[in-house]
Amino acid sequence: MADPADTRDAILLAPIERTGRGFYWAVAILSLGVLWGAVAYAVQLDGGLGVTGLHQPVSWGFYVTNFVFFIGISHAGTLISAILRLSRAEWRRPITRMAEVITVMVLFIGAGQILVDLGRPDRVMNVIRHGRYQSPLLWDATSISAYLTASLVYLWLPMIPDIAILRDRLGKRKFFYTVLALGWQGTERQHKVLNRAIAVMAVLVIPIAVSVHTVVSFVFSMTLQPMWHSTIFGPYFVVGAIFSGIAALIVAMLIFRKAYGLQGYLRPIHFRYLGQLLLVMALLWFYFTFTEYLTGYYGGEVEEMKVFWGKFWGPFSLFFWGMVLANFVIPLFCLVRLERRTIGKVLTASLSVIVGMWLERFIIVVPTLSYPRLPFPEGIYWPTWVEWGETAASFALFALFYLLFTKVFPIISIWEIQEGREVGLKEVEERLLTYLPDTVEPEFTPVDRGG
Amino acid sequence: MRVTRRTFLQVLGGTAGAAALARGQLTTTEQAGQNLERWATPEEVGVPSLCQQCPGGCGILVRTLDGEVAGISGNALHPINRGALCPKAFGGLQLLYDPHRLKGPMARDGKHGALRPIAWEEALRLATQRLAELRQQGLSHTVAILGGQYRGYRDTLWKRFAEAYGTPNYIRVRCLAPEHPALTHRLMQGVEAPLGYDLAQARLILSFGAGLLESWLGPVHGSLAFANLRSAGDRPRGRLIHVDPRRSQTAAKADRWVPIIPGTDGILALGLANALIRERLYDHEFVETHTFGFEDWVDETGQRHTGFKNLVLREYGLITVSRATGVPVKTILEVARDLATIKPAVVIGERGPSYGPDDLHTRMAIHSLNALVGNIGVPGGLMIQGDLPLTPLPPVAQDLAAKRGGARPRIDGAGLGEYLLVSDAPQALPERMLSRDPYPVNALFLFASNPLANHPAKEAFAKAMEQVPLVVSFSPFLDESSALADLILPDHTYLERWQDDQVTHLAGFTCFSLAQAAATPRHDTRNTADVVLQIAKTLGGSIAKSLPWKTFEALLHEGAQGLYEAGRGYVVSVHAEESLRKILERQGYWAPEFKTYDEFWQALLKRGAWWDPTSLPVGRNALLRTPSGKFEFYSTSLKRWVDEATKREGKTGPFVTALGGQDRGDLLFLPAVAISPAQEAEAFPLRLITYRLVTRPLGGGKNQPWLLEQPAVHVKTSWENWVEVHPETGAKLGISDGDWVWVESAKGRIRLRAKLYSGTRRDVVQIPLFGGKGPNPNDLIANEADLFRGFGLLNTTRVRIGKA
Amino acid sequence: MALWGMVIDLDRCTGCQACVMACKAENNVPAVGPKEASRERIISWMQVLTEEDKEHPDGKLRFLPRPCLHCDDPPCTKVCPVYATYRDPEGIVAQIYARCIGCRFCMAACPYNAKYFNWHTYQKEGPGQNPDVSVRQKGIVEKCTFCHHRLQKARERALAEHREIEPGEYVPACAEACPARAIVFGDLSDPSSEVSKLARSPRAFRLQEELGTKPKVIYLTEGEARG
Ligand SMILES: Nc1nc2c(c(=O)[nH]1)N[C@H]1C(S)=C(S)[C@@H](COP(=O)(O)OP(=O)(O)OC[C@H]3O[C@@H](n4cnc5c(=O)[nH]c(N)nc54)[C@H](O)[C@@H]3O)O[C@H]1N2
Ligand SMILES: Nc1nc2c(c(=O)[nH]1)N[C@H]1C(S)=C(S)[C@@H](COP(=O)(O)OP(=O)(O)OC[C@H]3O[C@@H](n4cnc5c(=O)[nH]c(N)nc54)[C@H](O)[C@@H]3O)O[C@H]1N2
Ligand code: SF4
Ligand code: SF4
Ligand code: SF4
Ligand code: SF4
Ligand code: SF4
Ligand SMILES: [Mo]
Repeated sequence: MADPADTRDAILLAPIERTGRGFYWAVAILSLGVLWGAVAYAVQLDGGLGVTGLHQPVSWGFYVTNFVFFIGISHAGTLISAILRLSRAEWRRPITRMAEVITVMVLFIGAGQILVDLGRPDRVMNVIRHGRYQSPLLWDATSISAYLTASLVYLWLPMIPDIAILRDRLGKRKFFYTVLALGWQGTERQHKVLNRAIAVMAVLVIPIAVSVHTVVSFVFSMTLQPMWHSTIFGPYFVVGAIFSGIAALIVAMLIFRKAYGLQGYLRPIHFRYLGQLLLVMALLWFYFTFTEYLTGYYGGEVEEMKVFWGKFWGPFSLFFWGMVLANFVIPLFCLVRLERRTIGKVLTASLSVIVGMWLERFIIVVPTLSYPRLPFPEGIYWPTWVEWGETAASFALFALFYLLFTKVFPIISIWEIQEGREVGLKEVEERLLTYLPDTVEPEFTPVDRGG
Repeated sequence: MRVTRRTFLQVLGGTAGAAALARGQLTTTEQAGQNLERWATPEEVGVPSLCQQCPGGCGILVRTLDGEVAGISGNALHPINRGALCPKAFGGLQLLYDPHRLKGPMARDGKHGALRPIAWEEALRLATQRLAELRQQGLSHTVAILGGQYRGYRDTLWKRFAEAYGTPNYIRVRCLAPEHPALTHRLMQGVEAPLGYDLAQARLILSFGAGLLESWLGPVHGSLAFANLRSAGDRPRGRLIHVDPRRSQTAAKADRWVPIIPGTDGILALGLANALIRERLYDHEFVETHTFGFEDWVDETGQRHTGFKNLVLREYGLITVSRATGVPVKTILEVARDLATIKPAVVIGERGPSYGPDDLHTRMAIHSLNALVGNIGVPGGLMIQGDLPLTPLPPVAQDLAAKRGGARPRIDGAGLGEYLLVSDAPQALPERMLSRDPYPVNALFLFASNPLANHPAKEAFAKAMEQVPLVVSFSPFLDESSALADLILPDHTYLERWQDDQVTHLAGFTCFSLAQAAATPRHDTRNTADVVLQIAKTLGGSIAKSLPWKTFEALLHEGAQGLYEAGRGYVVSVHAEESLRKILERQGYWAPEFKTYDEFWQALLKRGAWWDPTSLPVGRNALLRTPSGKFEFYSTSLKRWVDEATKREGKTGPFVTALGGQDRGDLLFLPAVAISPAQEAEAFPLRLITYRLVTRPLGGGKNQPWLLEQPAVHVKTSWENWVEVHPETGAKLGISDGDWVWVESAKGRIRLRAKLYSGTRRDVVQIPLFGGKGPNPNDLIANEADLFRGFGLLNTTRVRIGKA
Repeated sequence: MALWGMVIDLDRCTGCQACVMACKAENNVPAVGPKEASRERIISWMQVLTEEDKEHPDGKLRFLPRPCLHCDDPPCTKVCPVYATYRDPEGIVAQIYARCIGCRFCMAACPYNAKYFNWHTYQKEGPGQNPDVSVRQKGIVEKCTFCHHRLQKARERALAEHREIEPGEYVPACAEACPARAIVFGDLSDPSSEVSKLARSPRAFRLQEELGTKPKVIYLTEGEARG
C-alpha cells in the first residue's frame, strides 16, 4: 500500500523536507502578531482586566466573542470529516486532514480565550478543585476537553500510516515519528484495526462535537437575559459553528493549495462541493436567525425589544446588518452558480462568512449586556488595543500552529489518497451499481477497505 | 490623654518612627510594636461627634479602633438626625485621611516667597507679635477676622477675642444663620429668637426654593420631615409643593413642582395671596385678630394707608402675576386652594442665596402667606426656638485700646448706611479693603472660609489680600485662599477636635451637641479654638482675662454647666426613656438624672447632646412680639428704621435708596415686590443659577473621592463639574449632551461639559456648586450685592453659552 | 430560620444616595477615580437608579435604590463554576472572594446588574477602612452582602449573652443611614416583623417579578396606596 517507492505523491512530503524563504517570512509575520498578544496579555496580567474596554454592564466582550467564534470554527474539522467519512464521500480524501487539524489547533485557542478572559487566571484550577456542575461553564469545560481529546485521537489515528512514511523516508525526527507511528508496518491486520478505530472515532466524535457547541450556547441561553434566553440557541449555535467551520476550512485549503502547489489534489470540484455545502449552511443559518429574531419580535417583550432595536437600528445596527450581508447576502450571490470562477467565488463567500460569523458572535454577546433591564446609564463598549492584540494574536497563533503542523506532518493524507486510487475507485463503481435498477442485488458484504 | 494600647505601643516604638518611615523602613522596635498591635484585639470605642459637612448639625458616632477611625454612623440618640445621615457624612472619613492635608504650620518667606513648614511656637510667635504690634500702634481695628460656617462656642470665642483685642471686624460669611432670627421674622413678627418650622407635624409644605432634601438647613432633618409627610401612622399623606426654576431633587419628590422665573418668588407669593383673598380662603379669624396692616388703615395723623389686602388685589392680579413669574394661573389657583385647605400648612421661604434684587420684600411676601393661612404659633406651623440655658460667661474685659478699636466703624460697613440691617457684609469687604475705606486692613484671619473660591467677588478679594501685610489661615487644607496666606495655623479636622454645636431652627427644639476628639490627630495640627486661647494668653492683659480658659474643653465644660443647672431638658437618651420623661414632665415633674455635674458631663460626652423638647414655646404670644402683639403686614419696625435713617441721612440716604427709594411710600414697609418688565438681554440671553447638590459638602469636598464620584442622580455625571441646559435650548445652539461649552458672562468665561436636562427652564442654565473638577462658577457671577444679606446676588447673573 | 429581607419605600426615597455612601464606607468599597468612573466602572453595591417618566407632565424623575436583591432563587449563583457565590441558609446571597476566578458569568446572569467587578486594583488596605470587611483585589466580583458581617457580630453578641438575636439588632448600613427612612430591614420569615408587614402592603412589588427570581428586596410604589 504505502509503498515507499511510490513517488506520485512526493509533493505532499515536500514542505516537510524542504523549507523555503516564504515560510520564514510567514513565521516572522505571524510571530509578530503573537508577540502583540503576548505583550497585551502581560499588560493585562499586571493591570487587571481594566486595560480592556470592558465595564459595567458590558462585562463580556471580545474575549467571549472570540471564544464562541473559535469553538465554532473548530467544528470545521472533526465533525465535517467524520460526516464525510461516514457517508463515504470519496471527495473527502484530500480534505479530512486539513479539517481535523483546524479543530485541534482552534480548540486550544478557543479554550485559551476563557483563560485570557478570567480576572484571576491564577485560580483556574479552582474549576477542578471546586467545580460546580450546575454551571454551564463546567459543562463547557467538560465537553470541550472531551472534544479536544477525541479530536486529537481522531487526528492522530489516520495520520499513523503517513507518520510511518515519514519515519521511513525522512532523515530527521526519527525518534519522534517512530514513537507516533506506533510501530505501523502497513500489515493487513493493522489496516483493519486502524479502519475500525477510525470508524468508531468518527461515530463518537459527532455527538461530542454537537454537544460542544450546544453547551457553548447554554452559557447564554441558561441565563434569563433578553435575546439570550432562547430554546433554539443550541442548534442555532451548532449550525453557525459548522457554517463558520466550513468557511474556515475552505480558506485554509485555498491558502495551502496555493502555497504548496496542491492544485492537483484540491481541485475545483472540491470547492464546488464545499461551496454547495456552505450555501446550504447559509440558508440554514438564515432560517435559524430568522426564526430566532421573529419569535423575539413577535413576542414583543419590552426587555427583548430594547436589545432587538439596539441591533436593528441602534448602535449595533452596523454590526447586525453587516452580519446579514456577510453571512447571507454575499454567500448567496457567490454560491448559487458555481460553474465558473468557482475558486474565487468560494473564497469570497468563505472570507465573508468568517467575518460574518465573528460579527454574529459579537452581536449575540455584547448587545444583550448593553441593555440592562433596569434604568442604568448605557455605556458603549469599545475594545482597547489589548483586546485587539489578543484577537490578532489568536488568529496569528492559529495560523502559526497550522503552518508548523504542515512542516511536520503531511497536510493531505497520503495513504488515503493512495487508498482512493487503489480501492476507492473500484468500490465506488461497485457501490454505484448497487444503486441502479438494472443490476441484481449483490450479496451484502461489508467492503474491507483495508483489503 | 487617654492612654490606649495604641498610644502605649507608639511610645514603645519610639519617636524615631517618622524618620525611619521617611527612609522607607521600620525600626525593629517599631516592627515589634506593629506585630504586637496586630495580635492584640483592638479596643473598639464609639465616640459621639458632630458632622460638619454642612450646617445640618447631625450627631454622628465615630467608630474607633485604638484611636484609628474605622467608620461613621449616625448617632441614634441625636434629636436632629436620630441615627440617619446624608451622603456627605461619610465623606468625613476621606476628609480626615486626605493625603494632601497640611501636616503642620506653614509660613511664607516674604510676600511672594514659598510656603515652608515651621514650628508651632514660631508660628504662634509670628502671629502674636504682629497682633501685639498693631494693638500698640492703636491699629487693633485693622485686624479683620473672616469666619465661615460654624456655630456655638467657636463663634463665641472669636467674638470675645475680637471684642477684647479691639476690633469690630469679626465678619461672618453666612447666608443662612439658623441661630439668628431671619430679618423678615424680625420685621414682621418682632421676634428676637430664631423661628422654627414644625415640618414634622405639617401636612402641607410649600417651599419657595428651599433645598429641603438637599441643602438648606440640613437634608437629614429635611428628609426625616419629608418621610413623615409621606406616611406617618394613619394620617393622610401630606403634600409637598416646591417652587424652583430647576427640577431639583426636592422638586422631583414634591407632589407638585412649580417652575418659576428666577427671582420672581415674591410676585408669585403675592399672586397666591391674591387668590387666597379673592376666594376668601384665608384664615379670617387669625388675620382679623392677630395681624396689622391687612385692611386699609388710618394712622394717628389721619393719613390713609393702603392695607395688604388692597395692595394685593390691586397690583397682583393673577394674570399679571402669571405673566411675571411664568406660572400658569391655574397652578396659582390650585396651589392657593391646597394651601388653604390642607392643615396644618407651613410656607418656607428663607433661601440661603437670595431670591434676587428685591430679596427682602420677596421674603416678606412669602412670609405673609404664613399669616394668611394662620399657621403661626400652631402645631405643624411656625414656632419659636427656645434658648439654651448655657452658663452666662463673664463680660469681656475691654481695656482702653480695645474700647477704642471696637468703637471704630466696621470695615465691611455692616450696621451702617445701606447695610443698616445686616450684621455682616462680607460682600463689601474686598472693595473696601482695596479702597482702604475707612482704613486699611493690616491683618486678615481666615477661619473656615475660602473667599478666593466662594466669594462672588473673588478676584477683587484676591487683589485685596495682596495688600494685606499679614494673612493668616486656619484651614487644615491648602485651599485657594490658604495658598495665598502668609501664615497657616492648621486646625484639626472635625473628627479630631473638641467642639460643640448649638442648633438650628428647622428642628424647633433646643439642642446642644458636644463632641470630644474622636480620632487621634493625624498631623501636627491644633484646634483653632485652643490656638485662639493660646494667643489671647500670650497677648496678656485684658485679653487674657477675657479668655481665661486653658483649653477649649474647659470653656465647653464651663458653658455646659448651665444646662445641668437649668432644671429642665435631658441629655439625649433612648426613645422609651425619653417618652417616659416627657409624660412625667407634662404632669409637672422634672427629675434630675444626674447627681453631679461631672456625671452629667460624662453622660453628655457619651451620648453626644442635650436637648429640651418640651419647653418649645408654641402659641401666638411667643411668636408675635411686635409692639402691637400682632403680625405686621405693614412693618412698623422697618418704618422706624427708615424714619431714623431719613432723619440721619436724608431722604436719599443709602439705606432708603437701598430699600427702593422714599418715593415708594408705604410699599417700602409692605411686602410689595416690584414687577419689572422682562428684560431682553441680547448679549447674554440666559440666566445662571448655582445650586447645591446633596452630595457636595461645604468647603468643596474636593478631597473626598467618594462624594465626587457619586453620580448626580439627575444627570449621572461624576467627578467633573457641568452646566445644565434645557434640551431645546441645546438643540437651538447645536449643543448635544456631553459637549464642551463655554459659559460666558460679562465678567468672564469658563469651559464646562454641557448636560442636557429637561428639568431646566429654557432661559436658564445651571451649575452645581462646590467640589467637582473643573472651573468655578464664581468666575462668572456678577458682583452685585444683596444689601439685606450683605452677600452677593448669586443667581442674577446673565450668561450665554456656545460650543467650545 | 430567619429569612433576611428588605423593603424600600419609593414614595419616601429622595434619591439622596446616603445609602450608597453608607454602604461604601461600611464595606470598604473604593472610589475608582475619574478615569475609571468615566469608563463606567464605578462600584456601587447600592446604586440609585434614576428613571425619567417622560409621560408625566413635568417629566417626573423616579429614584430606585438597588442593592443586591438577594433573590431567593438567584440566577447568579447557579452559573458560578466554582461555588464562589451561593445562597446561604438564611437567604443571603454571598460571595467568596478568595475563590472567585473572575469569569463574570454571575454578572452576565444577574438580571439586576447587582454585581461589580474589580477591573483594576482600586485600593490597598489603609486607614479609615472597616476591619470587619476584607478589601477586594483586582479580578474578582463583589456585591452587596446585606452587610453580612453585621449579622455575624450580632449573632456573636447574642450567643455570648445566651439569647436570640433581637429584631433591630441586625441592620445593614444603608438602612441605618437612610434619612428618609425609606429602607426597612428584617426577617421575612417572621410574619409580625415590620418588613413582613410592609411586604404584604398593597403598594408592595418586586422587580422583574415575572423572572421568578423571588427577590427579597421588596419595593413600595410611589404615591398613595392604589389598592
Ligand atoms: N449639601 C449641601 N448642603 C448645604 C450646603 C452645601 O454646601 N451643601 N451649604 C449650606 C449653606 S452655607 C447654605 S446658605 C444653604 C443654602 O441652602 P438653599 O437655600 O436650599 O440653597 P441652594 O441649594 O443653593 O438652592 C436651593 C434651590 O433654589 C433654587 N433657586 C435658584 N434661584 C431661585 C429663585 O430665584 N427662586 C426659587 N424659588 N428658587 C431658586 C435652586 O435651583 C435650588 O434648587 O445650604 C446649606 N446646606
Ligand atoms: N456662585 C455661588 N457662590 C456661592 C454661593 C452660591 O449659592 N452661589 N453660596 C454662598 C454661600 S451661601 C456661602 S455660605 C459661601 C460658603 O463659602 P465659604 O465661606 O468659603 O465656606 P466653605 O465653603 O465652608 O469654606 C470652608 C473652607 O474652610 C476650610 N475648612 C474646612 N474645614 C475646616 C476646619 O475644620 N477648620 C477650619 N478652620 N477651616 C476648615 C476649608 O479649607 C474650606 O475651603 O459660599 C457662597 N458662594
Ligand atoms: S445633613 Fe448631612 S452633611 Fe449636614 S450635618 Fe447632617 S449628615 Fe452632615
Ligand atoms: S438613603 Fe434612603 S432616601 Fe436616600 S437614596 Fe437611599 S433609599 Fe433613597
Ligand atoms: S440581584 Fe442579582 S446578584 Fe443579587 S441575588 Fe439576585 S441575581 Fe444574584
Ligand atoms: S465571577 Fe466569580 S463569583 Fe462570578 S461566576 Fe465567576 S467565579 Fe463565580
Ligand atoms: S445591605 Fe449592606 S452591603 Fe447591601 S447595600 Fe446595604 S449597606 Fe451595602
Ligand atoms: Mo450659606
